[in-house]
Amino acid sequence: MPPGRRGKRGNQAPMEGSGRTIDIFPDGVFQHILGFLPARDAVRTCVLARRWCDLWMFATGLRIIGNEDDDMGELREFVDHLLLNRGTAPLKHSSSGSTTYVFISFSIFKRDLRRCPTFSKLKTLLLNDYLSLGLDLDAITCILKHSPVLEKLTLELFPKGSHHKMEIKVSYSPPVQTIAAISEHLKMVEVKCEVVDERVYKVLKLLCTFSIRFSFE
Amino acid sequence: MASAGSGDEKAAAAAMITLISSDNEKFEVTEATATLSQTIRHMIEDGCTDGGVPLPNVTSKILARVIEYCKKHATAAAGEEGSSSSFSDAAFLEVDRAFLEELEEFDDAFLEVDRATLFDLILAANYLDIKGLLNLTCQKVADSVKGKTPEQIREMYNIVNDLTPEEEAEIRRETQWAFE
Repeated sequence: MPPGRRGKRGNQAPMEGSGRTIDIFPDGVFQHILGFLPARDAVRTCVLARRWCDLWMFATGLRIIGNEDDDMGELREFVDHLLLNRGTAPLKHSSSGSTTYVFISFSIFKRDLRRCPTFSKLKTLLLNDYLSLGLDLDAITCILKHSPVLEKLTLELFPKGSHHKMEIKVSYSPPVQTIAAISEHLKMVEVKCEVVDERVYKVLKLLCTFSIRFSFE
Repeated sequence: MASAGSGDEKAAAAAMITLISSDNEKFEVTEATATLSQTIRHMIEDGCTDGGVPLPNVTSKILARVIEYCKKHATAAAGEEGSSSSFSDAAFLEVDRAFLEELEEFDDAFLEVDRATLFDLILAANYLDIKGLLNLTCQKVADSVKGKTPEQIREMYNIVNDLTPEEEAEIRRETQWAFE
């Protein structure tokens, strides 16, 4: 990871000794840590100290996790603010190899998807279905069509708390003539599920319509 | 010397890499273990690991822990590759799951360190670019601040607020949407 924008903190000094505070971390590390926090917690760090004011905007991940009892309107408003304030900061951190995960709870966000935003920087996407209500075919279609540089898509189709028993790995090689416009960079789709039930079957069938071929290994 | 296990002897034919800590202690590890670090992987690719890899940012105490992590996870990676061809075999899946659970337990135990050590591990993982270790350790810090107020976080991590009251008030106004 390259040193942070204000990375003047002695990177060459041997790393040990007592009484050191969290301030020893370069910005890149903070941005990585913030990527593990729920988005609201990440934004709130902006008032900790001067150095923290805009760190959250460069967090390497964005976790927007809704609960069943959340007020949908409030949450949507929060996400609007969040995306507006993040501005054009790329979601993928400038360091090599770090990936970006966007955790979206679909029962809440599928309505927003209808407004069809474009996820112009999104390379890795994990969609979980913890609430086991939301993730529907329209949502997957919309995401696939509006993520022009998506490389890896993981779909978790199992309820919260249970472990998935099955993993279907799919590789995608774009057809010569693309039928529906999806990312030509897409290399891998993973579908994780407990059993292949009707819902999973439908998802797989949908993927087929995008010329995404899969097989059980 | 932290290596020299029977597992390593078996792989004697495999290339060994010498890592040298800031306090000049030498650690001999297999290439598979060392290349969990992208930084070292690039050095190997560039052919500049002869005579050992000096790591002036990492003390022997921390390097020993980092190697412990890498050894465990290098074995895991090798196991994954080895079994993927037998994916349909239920017995293999069982073995995989048992191993993943063991790995999880290892990670949990690995994280039971004091804060200074945790910080050193984060710095080392960042410098050596070991993704799994960086994720593991950063996640632990993130978990510790989840749901806390800014005041509580400042107190926990001795963060000195160098914003004037006016500045802080203004930032709070601008980000009021996140504080509701």
